[in-house]
Order: sequence, then structure tokens, then C-alpha cells
Amino acid sequence: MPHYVSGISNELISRARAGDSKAYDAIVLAYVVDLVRFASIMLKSREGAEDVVQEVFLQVWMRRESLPAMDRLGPYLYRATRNRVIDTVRAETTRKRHYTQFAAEGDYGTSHASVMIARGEMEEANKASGILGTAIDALTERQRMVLMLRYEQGLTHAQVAEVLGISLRAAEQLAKRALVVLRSQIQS
Amino acid sequence: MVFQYLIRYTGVSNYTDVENTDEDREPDGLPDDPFANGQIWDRIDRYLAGDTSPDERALFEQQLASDPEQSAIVEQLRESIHRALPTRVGLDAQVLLQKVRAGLADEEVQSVEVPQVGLEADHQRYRPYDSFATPKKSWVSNRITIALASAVLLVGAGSIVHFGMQKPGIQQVAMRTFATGAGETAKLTLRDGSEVMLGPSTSLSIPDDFGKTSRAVALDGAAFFSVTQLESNPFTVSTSRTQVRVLGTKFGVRSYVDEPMATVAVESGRVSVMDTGSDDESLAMIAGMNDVARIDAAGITMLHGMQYVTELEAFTQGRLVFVDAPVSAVLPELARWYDVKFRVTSSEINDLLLTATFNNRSASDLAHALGLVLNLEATRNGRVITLAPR
Repeated sequence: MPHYVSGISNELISRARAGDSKAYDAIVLAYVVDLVRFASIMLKSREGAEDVVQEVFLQVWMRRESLPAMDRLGPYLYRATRNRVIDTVRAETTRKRHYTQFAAEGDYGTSHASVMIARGEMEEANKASGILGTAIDALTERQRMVLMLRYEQGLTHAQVAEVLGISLRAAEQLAKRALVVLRSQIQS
Repeated sequence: MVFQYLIRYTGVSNYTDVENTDEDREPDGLPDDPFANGQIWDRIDRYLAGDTSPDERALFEQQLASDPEQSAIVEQLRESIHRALPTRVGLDAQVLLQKVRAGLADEEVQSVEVPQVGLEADHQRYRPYDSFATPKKSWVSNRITIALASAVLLVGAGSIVHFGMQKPGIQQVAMRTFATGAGETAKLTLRDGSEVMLGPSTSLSIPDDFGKTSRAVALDGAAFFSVTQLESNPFTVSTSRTQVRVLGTKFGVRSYVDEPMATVAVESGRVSVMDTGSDDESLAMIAGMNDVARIDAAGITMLHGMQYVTELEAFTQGRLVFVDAPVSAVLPELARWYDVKFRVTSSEINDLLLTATFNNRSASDLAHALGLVLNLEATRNGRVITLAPR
């Protein structure tokens, strides 16, 4: 199940660090889809997730000289994505408290869909919408992030802990509990 | 089934996602349940994560082959993980790369930008904002509608752009002021080809020497700018709260002198936003595509999202849309839009939420519509609308 990123080498990363935009394109191509998927676990909309990931690659490019080596690149990008989502959600939550909402008449549907929703609301929105299957309903946002990072992307527990900003032990527990929840859903 | 003990133990039904607590300890030794054994969990975890040596992997697969029940569980888990995660369908790496590249291209523009020379001089020229203190008076008294040589006016139905010659200010710079009334919008094309959409109750002052040495305008109200790129000559918008500098880009500014907050939203390109209340240029913020800067007494706050740009653009184009907005925030907006005053008889009315679209320029049935939507008694007497509980 781990998803191995193909075509990325330390040599390529060195070229990107030195400002080779073709090399950077290759890195973007290798990670962009999965980073959007990862961000969309935390955000309601894919559109919002795409915007976040665009910003992430912009920030990473601006600090390209500090791009980490291949074995650390994935965790670095996932962590940057999570941080950017948190900033966005925080800003959105503040805005919602203070300001009137305007939206263009015709664009209301899409613009509202791209409104970032703070965590608790997100969980409720998922449940209310019924779009997601029952197995997903039972999983928290953090568990889904762990499932993706650990069992799909093949990160170590320590790397998962780093991405999510939690302790190693917490990362291990989260992974295990996510599996338990899935198991219980299979049974019922 | 083998998992049941474990599930009961960890209390899935009232599961909470907290970090290490004592209740979260691993299940220890439920003898007849192989999956309650910590070691097995670790192996499943590592097997699914691909976090094993080839030998370990082979060993575990051998074990699974000899135990169909375990094997089925592991396969179901693998399947469930896949289903629980966001799909790749509809995501094209090449398309997303183009989007990232577009963002990077905007970034390149910024590195050419920000020549700080002369910024303060331009900035001073439009202060103080006396000219905005009585904008309506100035255009009412000079009720002349004209098309200037320096500006082509494309005026929407019912809208009039008024022109008033500015009294020479402290710096002796002559300016022209374009103003819209309540509910009016107007579109201007400036000498450099830049286009400006003016929102309601808005005035935009343009110096006579616009485009010669600088491209600086002063705004009170809401406007959406589509600026022609001239690398040697940045375009500056000054308001009572903020100063925005750009080279070539599309962005909106909403900054009414009587509102506590100004908003700058960027559709494309990058702009530099400064708080007028602060003279420290190092505090200027760079806003990129879909970024919005809000400037109030507390300084500049940056947010991100396409909807902000859409909102500001809709506003300047004469559409007012409220979604679950508190009446207390809606009424000042409607008052500006329709040039009416509101009287509210009960403070509870202020807390009601309104969802409605207003794109009708007539105030005649505003009261009726508000009454219907909010389930209130709404009566209009001249330009005063009174809202009362039914």
C-alpha cells in the first residue's frame, strides 16, 4: 500500500535548491495530488485544498535552499501543508466571527463550498451531508490523516508525529485506534 | 470475532481523539484473541505501512496464509483504509502543476516590484482626506455629467458619474473626483488603460498629472481595479486606512471613511498593502492571488480564499448578497445602497439573520421585501424604513 514517489532523487532536489525550476516541477508533480488529498481531509472543499497546496509550493519555492533530502521531503511537505491549513482555518474562523458575509449571487454555491470550516464544524458537516460512508463517519479527521500518512504514504510513526505535531506515542496510538475503528466498521 | 475484545476495551462507541491518556493503554493479554496481543498489532501496522524488512514481510505473509481469518481481516483493513481516504479521481497532477506555476509567476512579478522611492511623497499628497469628508456635497453642487479626455466613462443604467474640481490642496495638486451615489456603480478607463469599477457611494480622486510621474489615486468607498502593467510606474491606491501598491494586477479595495475596517482582495498578481495608521513601511504586507488583507485599528490581517475576491467584485458591480448575516450588519449596508435610513423598534431584531440578494436599484419595495424575509412589520415613510416585530 505505501505509495512510493517515483522520479525524485537527491540530485533532483539539489537542482531545485539551486533554483532549477524544471527540477522543482518534477517535485510538484510527484506530490501535488496527494497533498491536495491530504489537505482535503482537513478542509471541506477540494478547491480550498488546491489553493492551500498552491500556497505551500509557493512558500517552499521561496525557501528552496532549505529543501530537505529525499527521505525527509515527504514529511516536510505534509507538515507545511498542515500548517498552512491551520493558518487558513484560523483566519477564516476569525473572519466569520467579525464580519458580514457577502457572496456573489451566481457563485454562491462554489464560493461557500470553498469556505474553510473549522474542525468541529467539519466533522458535523461531513456527518450531516451523508456523502461519506459510514466507515469514514466513525473516523476523526486526525485518524484519517494518520491512515493516509502511515498506511498509504508509508511514513514512519516518528514522521507522522512530526507532521501532526504530536508525540511519537500519540502517533502510534492514533494509528492503532484508527485501525480498530475500521475493524469495528467492517464487523457491523 | 477476534477483534471484539479489543474494541470493547478501547471503547470505540464513545471514542475521543485525545492524546495519551491512561485509558488509552494497549490491551494487554486477552489470551484467546490473537489481535489483542500488542505484537500482532505492531505487525499488522508495519505490514500495512510497508515498514518491514523483506524477511519480516515474508514471515508475516506466511503466517497470514496459514490463518484465513486473520488474512481476511488484514485485507479488509487494507480495503477500508483505501475507502476512508480522499479519492484521486478528478485530480490531475499536470493541471495542478499549472496552477502552482501561475502562483510562482506572480511571485516573480513581486521581485521586480517594491521600489520604495517616492512612496512617502505620493502618500502625503493625498492626506489629509478633507476632500472625502463631504463627498456628496461636492458632487451635488457640481452636478455635471461629462466624459473627460482623460477618462472614458461607461455608465450603467441609472448611474451617473459626477465630476467636481478639487480645491487646490496643501500640495497644490489639482485632482478630479469621480463619485457615485447610493446604489450606483460606474466604470472608468484611466489614461494608462487601467480600468476601475466604482461601487456605491464611492469617490475616486485622480490627479491631473496621473500617469506622468506616478499613478496614484485616492479612494473612499469600494472599487475593483484592473491595472495595466507598467513596471517603471507602480499604481497606488490611497484611502484613509490603507495604501495599496501594485505593478499590474486585478484587485478590489473597499475602504469607506466611515467604516472601521478596510478590505483589499487580490484576484491576480500581487500587491503591497500598508496600514495608513502606521508609517513603518517594513510593516507592508504582500497579498497574492485570492488573498485578502483587512485593515482596521488592530493593523493588517491576512486571509485567503477566492470567495473574498468574488464578494468584493460582486459588491462593486452592484449586487448585494447576504448569507446568514446579522441584521445589525445588513442595515448599514442597505442604507448606503438605497440611500435610506432604518429605525429598529426592538434590539432583538438586530440579531436576526438574513439571507437575501439585492440587485434591484429601487428602494420602493425594499421595505416590503425585508418585512417578508424577516417576518417583521416593515413600514416606509419617505426615506425612513421602520422595522418592528409583527
